[in-house]
Amino acid sequence: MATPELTELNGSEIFDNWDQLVGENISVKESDPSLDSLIEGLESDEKGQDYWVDLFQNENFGGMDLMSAHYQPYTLNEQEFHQQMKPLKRAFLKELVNVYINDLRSADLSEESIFYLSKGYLPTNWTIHLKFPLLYGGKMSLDNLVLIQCHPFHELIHNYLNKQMISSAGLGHPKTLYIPIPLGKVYIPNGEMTGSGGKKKADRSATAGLTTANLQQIAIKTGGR
Amino acid sequence: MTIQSIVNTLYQNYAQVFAPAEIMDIQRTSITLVKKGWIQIPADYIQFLRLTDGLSWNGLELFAIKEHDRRDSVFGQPTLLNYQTENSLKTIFPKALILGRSTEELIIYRGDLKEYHILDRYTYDPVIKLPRLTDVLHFYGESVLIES
Repeated sequence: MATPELTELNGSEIFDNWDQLVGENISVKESDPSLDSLIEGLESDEKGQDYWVDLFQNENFGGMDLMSAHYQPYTLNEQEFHQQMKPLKRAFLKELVNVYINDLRSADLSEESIFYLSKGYLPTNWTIHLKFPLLYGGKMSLDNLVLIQCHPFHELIHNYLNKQMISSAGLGHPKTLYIPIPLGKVYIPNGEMTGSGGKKKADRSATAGLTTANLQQIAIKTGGR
Repeated sequence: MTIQSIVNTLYQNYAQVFAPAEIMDIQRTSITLVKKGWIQIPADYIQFLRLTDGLSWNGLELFAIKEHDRRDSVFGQPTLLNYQTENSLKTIFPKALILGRSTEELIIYRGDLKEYHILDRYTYDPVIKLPRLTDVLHFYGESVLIES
């Protein structure tokens, strides 16, 4: 497994096109300022970066990156989050089937599962994950979503985050959260993105090293051949 | 709508359902949960388990009593008991049981309030509080249940 990179960044910096993607329909509200008090004295802040990097390296995160993001004192109301997630989820599934079909197949989704996706349903054991939580600069945008297997990877991410957010004293939100980030729109363990075949894989040597987005550009330039 | 009619409708819309759980197995799990410091399985969830031991539909998973062998897959849906052990929220909700999950949400039953809560997985604040399991199923299956 490649050595994970720890990147210090503010989640909002990577979503410059947020307004363009979601327009004005989705808003972010000021949260209850009392949340800030939960941050004080949280064990995870005291443990420090080295501890969380070691823990990340010792668990099987299959090619994910570890990034850090800072707590931002606002949140989307949970009911609004659910309501806004619904259309976003539908748009995301549509995008996956229309644009990222190669990645779906590389992730070993069966044709039956892809059929469910095309009907707007998540197949069994697959879920949509917010890469950056809203409380840490993440946005309700297509760029912040990834299709991922519930077991083991989605649970693994949340268990890792829970270790930072839940301590013997209860729930809190650390100032800095270390977040395992699955790459791409469809999480493929150990980054087998549009690769060049391998055991039980179709030979894709002609497209090796190219992402789905690259392939799409080539298809447009060559008239879709 | 009853739990049975909702489950039937979801099944017709690609839900994965299972054989009903045995009443003895439900009782055994319930006793183990209480002995380990959790609460009893709510009555309407038992009714659901007697129809199908777990359910998976469009990202919604409701946990089962028994592990299900899956010929076509390498994973197993977690059981009710395993999930409590692996994801203890006791420090936040001492009188609750995690019954399922969906996209970035957890479905819990608050024994102290006798309510189902759908929680945001990052803030652990409730998205919605509902009195019955049928309401939870309606909440997630709204699009297909209204059509039927």
